[in-house]
Amino acid sequence: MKFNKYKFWRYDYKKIRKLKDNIIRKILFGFGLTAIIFILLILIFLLVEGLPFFFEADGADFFTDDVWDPSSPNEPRYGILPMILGTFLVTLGAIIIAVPIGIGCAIYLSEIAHPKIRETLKPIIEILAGIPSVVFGFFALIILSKWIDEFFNATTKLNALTGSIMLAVMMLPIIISLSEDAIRSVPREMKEASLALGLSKWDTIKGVVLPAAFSGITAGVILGVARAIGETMTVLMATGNAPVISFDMLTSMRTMTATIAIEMGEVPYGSTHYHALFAIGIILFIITLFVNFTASIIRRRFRERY
Amino acid sequence: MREEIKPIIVIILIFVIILFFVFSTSDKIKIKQKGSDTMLELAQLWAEEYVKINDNVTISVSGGGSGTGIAQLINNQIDIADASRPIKQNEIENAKSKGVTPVEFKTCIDGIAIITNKNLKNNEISINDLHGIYNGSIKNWKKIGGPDLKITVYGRQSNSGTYAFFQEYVLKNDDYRVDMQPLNGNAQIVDAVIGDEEGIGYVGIAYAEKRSDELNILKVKNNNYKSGFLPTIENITTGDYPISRYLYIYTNGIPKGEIAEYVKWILNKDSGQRVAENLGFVPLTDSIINEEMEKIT
Amino acid sequence: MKWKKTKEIIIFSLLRLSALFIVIALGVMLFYIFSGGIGKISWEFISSFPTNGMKSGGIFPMIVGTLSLMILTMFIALPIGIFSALYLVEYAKPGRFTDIIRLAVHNLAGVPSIVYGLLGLGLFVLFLGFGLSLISAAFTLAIMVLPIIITASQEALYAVPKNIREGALALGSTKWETTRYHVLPYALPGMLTGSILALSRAAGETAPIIMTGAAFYMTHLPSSIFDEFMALPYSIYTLSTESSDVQVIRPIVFGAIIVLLLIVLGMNLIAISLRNYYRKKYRW
Repeated sequence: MKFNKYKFWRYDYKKIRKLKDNIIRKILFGFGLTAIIFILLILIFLLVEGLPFFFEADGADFFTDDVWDPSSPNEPRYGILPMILGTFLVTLGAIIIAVPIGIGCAIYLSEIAHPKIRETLKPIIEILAGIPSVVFGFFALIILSKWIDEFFNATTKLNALTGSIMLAVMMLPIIISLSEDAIRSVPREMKEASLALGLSKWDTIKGVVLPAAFSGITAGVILGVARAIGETMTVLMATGNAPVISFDMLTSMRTMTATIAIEMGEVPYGSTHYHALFAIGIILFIITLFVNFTASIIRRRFRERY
Repeated sequence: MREEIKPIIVIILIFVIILFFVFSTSDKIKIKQKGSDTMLELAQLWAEEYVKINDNVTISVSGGGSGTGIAQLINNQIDIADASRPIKQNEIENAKSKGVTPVEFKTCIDGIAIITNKNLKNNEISINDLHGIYNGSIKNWKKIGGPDLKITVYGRQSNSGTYAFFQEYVLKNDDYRVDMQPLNGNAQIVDAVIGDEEGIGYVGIAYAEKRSDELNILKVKNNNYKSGFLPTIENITTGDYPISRYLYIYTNGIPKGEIAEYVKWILNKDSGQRVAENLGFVPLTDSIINEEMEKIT
Repeated sequence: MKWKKTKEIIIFSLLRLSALFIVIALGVMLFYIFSGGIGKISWEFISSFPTNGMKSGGIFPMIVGTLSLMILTMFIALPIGIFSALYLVEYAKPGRFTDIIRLAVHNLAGVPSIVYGLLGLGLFVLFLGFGLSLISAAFTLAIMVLPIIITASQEALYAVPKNIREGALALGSTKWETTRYHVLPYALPGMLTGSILALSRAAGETAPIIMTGAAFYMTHLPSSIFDEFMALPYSIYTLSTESSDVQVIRPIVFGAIIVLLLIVLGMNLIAISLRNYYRKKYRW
């Protein structure tokens, strides 16, 4: 008989260990599910509270009406066009500012900067990334808006431009760190080969490094955009919140996120207005879902190349 | 491995101890008060002053708008709702259907000041003109005797009782113009108008008074009056200044116990009313105070 | 040929400028904030209640509220996050289902903060009946920072070389035993770093707590986790948009911002130092 040392003691430790392992495996599986459960919870709640809106008010008007006035005593209107436009313009403005600066900074950090400068700059970017959005909002409200007022002589100092600039500053850390990662992961051999063939540093960057890092950079930009679309506090405090349709960046606009934040407090639970706000939430959720999905596809598809 | 875990456990223990200290005030009665942003400062000051003389209670105060306060009272989540407008009929019905009976108390009177930029020469405006400006039919200052400049109209957001009151009283339930800038609070409107030569806004007088040297507070002329009046305490009390309203609090049913004591304190001429007066609101007259006190018995 | 060199110089200068922009942006913001609020910072400010209509006094209850929120959030999110990451890295079989889980984690990270507020309101405040409270807000924040903890923990786990696991298994350990005694100890510091970063994020968020329990003013500290609370980000928001005496209140807001930044950035600093320390310690 083989000597089974575990059976020598009172308990069959081997079985116990195996049992413990199995139980833990099941428990951990449960934990693994939590992410799915939560995302489903969000979806479910949004749908449960948001879909009723389309049955109570005229659903089509939601997307075509250009007036948002849900508490009018005469005729409540629930058109989200002004807010979609608001979100779009403020985000667009932010992209225009942040993308060139962000990618430029990423290139600088990974290719041109002296290592000592890199060491100082990276913490600065991390600090910027850690600042809470309400601080940005406050800065925009108190200081940035005054500068814009002096510089552009705008009708209102709280307008889409103020929001865009502040959003751009918030987007920068994401764009920079992801782009920088992408650029640094381009194999050295490629850069060295290009330089060996006589191309200048800039030509190498332009023709070899950037195309190779393209997917990572794009992913960074898209994630930054997703952050900008979903940002609430900064735009709430910076953009003036007028639900109007206008293409003038120096006028006050309202984003979808701000609408929910402003009006959620006032609505009686269960009213049409309440459901309308959840409906906006659904739209927001879908948009950010779509944007994130695009980012991961790009990331995955191009990662295989190198 | 144990070495690394030790400091972490220590930190966690410290945190738990902090938490324990935090939660040691649970023997007091809690009063939750929410609602109007116009009344936010007032409510906060009431709470602050009241607990100085009565430390059996703890009071929490929040804003969110008159609509919020009433909605939460209806949902039985708070004890006192602050409202700068009277409760609406559909809110009363909603409450009844949930088993809640809102009881109204007037607390003080608030004048709504119409403010413009200091550089504007106009110093008077009629209710009709105000109506026209805010519903969009009057777009330029020159139409009412001012400079040839486009009017920038500032107002509150739709969750504000001030917004609702102004809409009902001045606009006679007309729709606000679409390009009115909906700002977050009274302070913001004051700020905006100070910085905008073409701006006009409506704010609670308390807010206008605070920075009256940076603003132009218009006299308002009621429609059948010959001239306008400034929003002073006398003019509001006599009714010569047309845009004024009561500020209310609502409780669920007739207040009892600590809540009743608090409401009585608010209504009292020497305590709650004095606080309101210091902030720039108009205290209730004695007869009204007695009327309101009657409700608590 | 010369033109090419000039072109390169110009372009590189532009790139340097973009880096400068960021430094200036941060510098300007910090300058205004510190100059506006540094006068207010004192021991009384941190340890006393707001008084006189919040025009004087301190921000003690807000600090307590934010810290309590962070602690509660940590107790909820940390275990869930670490164990989820553990599952994903050690136990999950590659395949469709695991992909879905990873997708869910990514998407959780992308949800706007206000939507979390909606979830918190609908689920914890109303449906589960917790009401406006610390616990509602903590749960909401926990779900919000979960993806951060999961991702950081995953990275920490991946950094442990495969050989350690293989060696342990070869010697007869069960999967859990190798994870518990051979992988986890080395991954824990990295997980901790991620958690601290997640916490600092939670401390600074406003939108999720607006609808789940933050109050403008309370006469006392919260009496239990089912009570409302004051918090730094929310007070910064309300005080900058609500109060009438702007001149007097503004320095207080600046002061509150400084305190909030110290907490948030302080935690980031701790997390990064921890990361660097353990990175040096465990050089595989």
